[in-house]
Amino acid sequence: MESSPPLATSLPEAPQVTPSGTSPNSAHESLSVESRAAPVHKRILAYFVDWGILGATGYLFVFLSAVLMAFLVNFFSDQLQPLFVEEMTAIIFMVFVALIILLVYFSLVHLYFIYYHLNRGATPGKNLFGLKVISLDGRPLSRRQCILRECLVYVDVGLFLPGLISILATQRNQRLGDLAAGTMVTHSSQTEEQNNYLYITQKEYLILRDVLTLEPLSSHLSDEYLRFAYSYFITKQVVPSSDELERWETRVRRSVINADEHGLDQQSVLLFFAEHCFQNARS
Amino acid sequence: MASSPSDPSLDPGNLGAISEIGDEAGQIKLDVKEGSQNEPARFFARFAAAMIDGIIVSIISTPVSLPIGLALGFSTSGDPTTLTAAIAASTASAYLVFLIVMFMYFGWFYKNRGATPGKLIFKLKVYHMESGRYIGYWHAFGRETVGKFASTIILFLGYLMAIFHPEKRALHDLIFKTRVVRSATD
Repeated sequence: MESSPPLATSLPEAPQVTPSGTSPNSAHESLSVESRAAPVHKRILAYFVDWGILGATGYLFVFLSAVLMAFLVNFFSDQLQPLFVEEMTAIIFMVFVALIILLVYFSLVHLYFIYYHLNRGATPGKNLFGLKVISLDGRPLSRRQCILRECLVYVDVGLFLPGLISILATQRNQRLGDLAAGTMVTHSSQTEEQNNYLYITQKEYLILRDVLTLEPLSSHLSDEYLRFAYSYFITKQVVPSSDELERWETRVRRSVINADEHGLDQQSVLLFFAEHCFQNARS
Repeated sequence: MASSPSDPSLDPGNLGAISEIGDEAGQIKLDVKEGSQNEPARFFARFAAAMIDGIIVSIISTPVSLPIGLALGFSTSGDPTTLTAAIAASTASAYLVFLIVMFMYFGWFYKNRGATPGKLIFKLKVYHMESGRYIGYWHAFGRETVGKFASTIILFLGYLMAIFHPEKRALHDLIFKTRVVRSATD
């Protein structure tokens, strides 16, 4: 997937937004919009997640429609009586009802995909992996495009192989539905990672990481400091004395060398370093 | 050639200036990220998240374990001994596949995202109480298997105690020292 071409708007060699203290990238590079063709495994995972949501609502839907059916059959029992005299007609009736329930459920499924693509550009599942559906002509997705993508899901996913082959074979990782509708699915690792910041926002962290000169992080200091920072800033179980805070500040400023130049006060430097440790612990 | 819809806030040139996070005097004053001092997750959100995760894990594991079970079933002759053995073997293999998928799924998501997809949809995160980090593969696996088994075996009281606990922690949270929170940020 590395060879897939970036879009015209993104920088040619946009680096991954990964936490590292010694990154030489400028702020421009590390914060650039990284919209590339989405890798196939992310699309499959996102699809599984969407079906997890749809499956859970499906249980609820089947349960509710069963309750509704019980009431309806009871209410119209006189009219339905002749159907249940013979076994065959009863079975046909049951199958007919089941088909209607299935039809309603699948239209709900398609509405889910069309609604989210049209209004948000991504379903909840796609959102989790930083994926977004865009139109190749640069305009927002139209209703026609969303519906066309949905229609071809039966070929792409229903028959399993066509979609997979199409994604692997085309340059922009488009499935047949994408090709027909003139859309593609993009991936931005910045969007994907934006909820993995705890102490300060992604933007604040990435800008400061570029500007500040950081000592290599020792895992001992990182562990000890995170333990303190989590209980102080997040759970607020610890109320440290000002002496203790100053002790931590001196230790932290030894690792964040030019913090004074940029006028970071005590809380700022403590928060930034907490995020730095947290990001490094994740990778 | 493809081009994405133009959005000025996404233009690389507009991002990345240090002045954006400082004040006029060039002083940088950071605050704790909004919504980070998370409140404990609500019981219903956790319940729905667990349900979605269960479905996703079975969507992934069934296509793997089903062919194995079928192959074992068809490989037997009719006599009861081999049939029993085949049933036992296919059950065991299904459990094994399920456990492997669980290990990968819960491990990867808890370690890298701090929450499984089901939890992420409801904006829930799981942190280790003491180290303040996301939990790792084995920690997550232990929590899902041993921890949730313990919560289940006492007639689901381990789960239900999350409703009454002052910090809304379930039994498997207490055993594995985890904290499930709802982050207000999007």
